[in-house]
Amino acid sequence: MNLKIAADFQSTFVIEISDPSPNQFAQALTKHLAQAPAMFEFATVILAPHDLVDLPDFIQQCRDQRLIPVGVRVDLLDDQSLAQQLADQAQAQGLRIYPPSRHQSRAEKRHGQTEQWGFQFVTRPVRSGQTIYAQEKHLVVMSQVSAGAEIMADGDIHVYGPLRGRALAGVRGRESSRIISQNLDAELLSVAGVYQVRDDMPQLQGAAQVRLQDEQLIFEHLNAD
Amino acid sequence: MAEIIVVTSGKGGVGKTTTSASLSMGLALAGHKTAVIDFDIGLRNLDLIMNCERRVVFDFVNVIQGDATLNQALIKDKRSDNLFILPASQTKDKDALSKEGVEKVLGELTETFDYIICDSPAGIEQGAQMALYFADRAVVVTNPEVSSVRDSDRILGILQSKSRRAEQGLPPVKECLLLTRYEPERVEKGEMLSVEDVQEILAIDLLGVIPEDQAVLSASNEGNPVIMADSTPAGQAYQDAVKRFQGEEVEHRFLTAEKKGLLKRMFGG
Repeated sequence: MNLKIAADFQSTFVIEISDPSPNQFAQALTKHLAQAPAMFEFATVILAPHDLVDLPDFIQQCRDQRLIPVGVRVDLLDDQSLAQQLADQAQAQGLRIYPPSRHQSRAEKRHGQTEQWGFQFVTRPVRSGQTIYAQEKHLVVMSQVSAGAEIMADGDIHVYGPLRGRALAGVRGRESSRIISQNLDAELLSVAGVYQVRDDMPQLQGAAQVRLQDEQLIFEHLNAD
Repeated sequence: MAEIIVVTSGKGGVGKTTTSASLSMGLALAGHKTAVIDFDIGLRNLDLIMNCERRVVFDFVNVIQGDATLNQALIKDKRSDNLFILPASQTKDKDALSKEGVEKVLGELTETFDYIICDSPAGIEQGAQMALYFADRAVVVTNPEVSSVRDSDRILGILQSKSRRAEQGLPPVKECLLLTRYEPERVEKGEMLSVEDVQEILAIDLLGVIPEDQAVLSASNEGNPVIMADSTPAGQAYQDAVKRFQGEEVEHRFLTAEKKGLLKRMFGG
């Protein structure tokens, strides 16, 4: 059988829940939906509670009102262990967890966890127009990265060759991420969302690294003598 | 078993059709049965460059749609018994090319030909992707100029990821660079990218360097692939490139500015 799958974009609503009581939720939900019933008819929703809730109950309530829950945001909870419980519930219900990264890196920041990430190796040149994303890994490119190419990693980025394209390290918030290259010549560099374009970068010849310090990108030669 | 070669570039106007004509003529003259196919549906050029535009009855799309057989559409070149041209359609659009249709035509050609050259249209969209999809080898035509180099890099990425070989995990398409419209005087003055500059960015094997030569325009207008103009630098450079293409080691010529002696300077070189 030939399947044709194409992306179809539609709005998903985020329901922010400030009161964990199921009754309160039921009343509030009914009231909101009544304001624009057609818009919410079979709408996909993401639940974003501020406290731990009885997730199966809330999901059922949504379904009773003809809403389709697709995910749960766990980052509005301050207590990390409760957030983890919520994430576990969401997983058990087959829902997507949003945002998986911020949840992890907050944990990392607070408890100083070091992740056991492996390396993703790319051995051929990364050509203009290509995109590489090392999810929950560090990225190692054993060749050049052309201008117009984009490489991203949740962890660090190492390029054993000229880096001429865009490199974004720590894309989900890992501030300790670094970008290291034998020849740093990039169009744009970013660590944990803090970025700089070529025009604003210092002139560096040869092997160099970029890291984040006090919300600023620091550029350093490797083996400075 | 034929080798399928795509002549591509990304950028338009760099010399793909000129190269397809000369490469196919060169291989045919060397004794290999060669077919050259124009994949630029709607903007057909190959037949003009090969001087067979007055003999086109059926085209590539006619064959795919079953309106004609391959034998009816293939045009035998008057200069070599080994060379056949499959022209593009001028009136249909490129949606008329389907992967299955192209596969069927290439399959039929592979049975009797040694080389099948696919002259790609410019761009990276459907037409160009169709031309490169079945390739075993790719000749990436590039001008020593920044946008051409960038576009060639882009097409190399597409060859790596969207060819049939890539999709089926087969050994990758063998890529090589043909640098065209090279002017050593301007390179030496620092006005133009050098061969080394281009190779640093693209990092693929060099098939050849074709110097800027007025003979190319004249050849186009006459309908004779420039490789046949033996006395011209472009013609000779193409001849060298065709030899290298078949595995021969040939030293690169026309890379340095000609130093004109006194007599040449007085009487013109």
